[in-house]
Amino acid sequence: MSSLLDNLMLGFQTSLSLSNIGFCFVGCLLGTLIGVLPGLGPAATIAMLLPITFTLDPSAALIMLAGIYYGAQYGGSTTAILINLPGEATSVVTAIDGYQMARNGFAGKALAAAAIGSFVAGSIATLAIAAFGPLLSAVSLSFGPAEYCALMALGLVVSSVLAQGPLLRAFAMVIVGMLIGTVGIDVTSGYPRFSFGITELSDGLNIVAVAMGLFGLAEIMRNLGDFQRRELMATKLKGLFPSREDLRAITAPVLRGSFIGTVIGVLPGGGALLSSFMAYAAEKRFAKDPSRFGKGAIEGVAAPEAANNAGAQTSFIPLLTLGIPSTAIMALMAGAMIIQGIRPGPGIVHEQPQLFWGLVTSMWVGNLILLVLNLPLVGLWARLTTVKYDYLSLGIIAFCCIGVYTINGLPSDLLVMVVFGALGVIFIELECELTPLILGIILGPMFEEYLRRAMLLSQGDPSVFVTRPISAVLLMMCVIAILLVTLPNFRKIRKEALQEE
Amino acid sequence: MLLNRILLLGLVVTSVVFASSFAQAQNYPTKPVTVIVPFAPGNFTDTMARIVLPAVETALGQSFVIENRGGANGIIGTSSVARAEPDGYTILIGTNGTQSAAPSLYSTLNYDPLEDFDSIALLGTISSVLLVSASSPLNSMEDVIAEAKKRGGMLNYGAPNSTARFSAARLEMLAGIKLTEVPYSGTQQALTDLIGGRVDMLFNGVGSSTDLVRDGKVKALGVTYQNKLAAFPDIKPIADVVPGYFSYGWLGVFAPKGTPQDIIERLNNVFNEALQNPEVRSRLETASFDIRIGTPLDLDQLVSDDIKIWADVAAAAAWVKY
Repeated sequence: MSSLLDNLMLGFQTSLSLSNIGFCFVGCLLGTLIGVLPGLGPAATIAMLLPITFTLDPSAALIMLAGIYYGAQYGGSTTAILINLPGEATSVVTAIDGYQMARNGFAGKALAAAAIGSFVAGSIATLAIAAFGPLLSAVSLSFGPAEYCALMALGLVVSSVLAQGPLLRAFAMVIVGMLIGTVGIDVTSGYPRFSFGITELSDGLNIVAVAMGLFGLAEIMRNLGDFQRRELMATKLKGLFPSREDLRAITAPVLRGSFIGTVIGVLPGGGALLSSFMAYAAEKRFAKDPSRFGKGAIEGVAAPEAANNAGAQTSFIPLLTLGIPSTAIMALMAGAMIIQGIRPGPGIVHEQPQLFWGLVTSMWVGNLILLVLNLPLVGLWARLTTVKYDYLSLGIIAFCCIGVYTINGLPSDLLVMVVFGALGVIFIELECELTPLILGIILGPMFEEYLRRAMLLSQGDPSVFVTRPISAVLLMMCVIAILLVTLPNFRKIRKEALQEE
Repeated sequence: MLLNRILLLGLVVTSVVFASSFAQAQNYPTKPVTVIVPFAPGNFTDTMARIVLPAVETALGQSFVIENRGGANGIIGTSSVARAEPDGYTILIGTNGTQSAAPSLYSTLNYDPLEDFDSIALLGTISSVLLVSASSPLNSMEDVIAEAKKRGGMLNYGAPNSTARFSAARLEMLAGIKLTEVPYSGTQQALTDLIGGRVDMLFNGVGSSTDLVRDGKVKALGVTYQNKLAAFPDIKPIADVVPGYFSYGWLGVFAPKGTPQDIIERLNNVFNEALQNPEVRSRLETASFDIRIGTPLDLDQLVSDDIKIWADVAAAAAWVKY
């Protein structure tokens, strides 16, 4: 324990030096400002700002990059809440209740809840990294393809359970999403599927372009097509900051979200994304009145935001303890380390403790800076919702196009966005929800990849899924989740049938 | 008299030609040069390019702007350079994947690595090590070959990229064994499964292997380069057991076909000088990138040799082009 304190002290000596606080601040500010542009999620933001850090010394560079990372993450949540534009997959859930809160005039509250949730989660995750880093990296090692496959299955089930409407439609949307997700080169066989010989489709559909289309463009088209809806947009702002009751309401959800995010965030490949969904699902379960979810429940913003922020931080663990970057963003960080002349991996902890612990503690400093930076900005951001929609929508479309184009510089991504914008309108008009759809698109291919790899490694024996304990538990949770949502329906049908007799 | 005039004219003409071509290389570059990296930012190729280019910029006094054009394993960005103006203001950081592997992997490849590009300079090579988990019963290359024969093709290897896949397929070809390929979409998952003991073997880049080997998380059985590597002084080349075996990735600088020869020479000199800059050197070494200095012709030779080797391996392994 005392060594933990010593390590943290050593870290704070680095992260609290005046210049490093400065770089952390600049990183958070730049990250927030760029991340708030629709389509520019953390990965694109870091990639763009990476060259700025080359001339800095290693710890300053990494601290600034980490600042950009959670700044952009936070910025992405801001657009999710204000204009229903999740900057990346992890804020898709935030958009569900966050956007409804904004439409009801509570944009400020939603943003503040997100900021507070993120800060608390960030603090917990920082401590967790310092105290249990090696233990958590063991968790990530114990997850093989069978476990991931079961986890993805759970994610897919949970995503349909999350839906507001009829369960059958939600399942259907998940399946449609999984089918759309098959476009591109199949990892296992190496064959292109549904790419029609178009090279641009061989990597699959660009998920950000799809999300921008489904959520952003579709929402704009619907708003512009419906005069009454548009008038509703320019609501009067009510209650900018959370009341004491609000704070009390989000305390437990934030803590639960932080825990879920800390653990699941460690898993490479989809960990951070799943954690926000799991946190949302858990809150819906725990809520006294689950029907409030989807209509602007503050817990539905605070919990997933806490989870994704905690996950964002613990996703550093595999990189720092094993040298294995767990996400595309961590791969960028690894690249940045190499450019700085540092080999990412377990060696860092022993060879450059001041850098390692400096980075860990700077995460906490960064979260504090974000809170300080964003709470005053809440009013400004929230006022965005009062801008006349005719102008706002034009701005959103322009930024969506720029954002999507910057990711790969491919004009075809813009077409993908437009097509999914149109699809989005059709699905909404048919009262089919988009959240299960996008989850199907994201998780489907991962589910398939892990499933087939697990079968390849077990030489075709499907029993691995139930004989491996973690996978068995996860699959059991799937079954329970399905039972929990279907049983009340059955009971209702039976009751109705009985009443008719 | 007439002869004199002709001579004089000849002199003038040649000197004008000389002067203009001389001026071209002397003045080049007069504006920023676009460097296409056909992969996402932060990728290995991108990282190496970002380490080398500042030294090139200093030498030539112009900025070399990286444009990341990722997608389809580098094919999209590479084909855009094949179609670019050959004026020396668009160059490509190509790899063994985009220049030598692609013809054996894709039937719809829309560029010809030999016909559409002029080689500028090889930057260096990236070797791999064959890793097994710490708890694996395999302790040497001989063990691997014996085990593969014993298990009749059921010994498996992780394949997160085409270089790793190629390394294994070439081993199968030269050692006369069969292995099972377990495809991965990224190195991180493959490494996790290797450490966790779920996949038997993995050909992994030297850079991300050294710490794992030192910490005893995995064992290294052989290096894919013909000679021993500085990063693994105790590990023998696979070639010691399987004669003629080698497999390594490389990065090189290319220009669209038809770029003026003097510009190519100048760029070759400048890139070679940049590679010898001590700071650049030490950073590339951190990433276990082995610097190679050579002429444009050396790179031409490497590409055409490599294309043949890939084609042989692809034929032996019966890979289907798509």
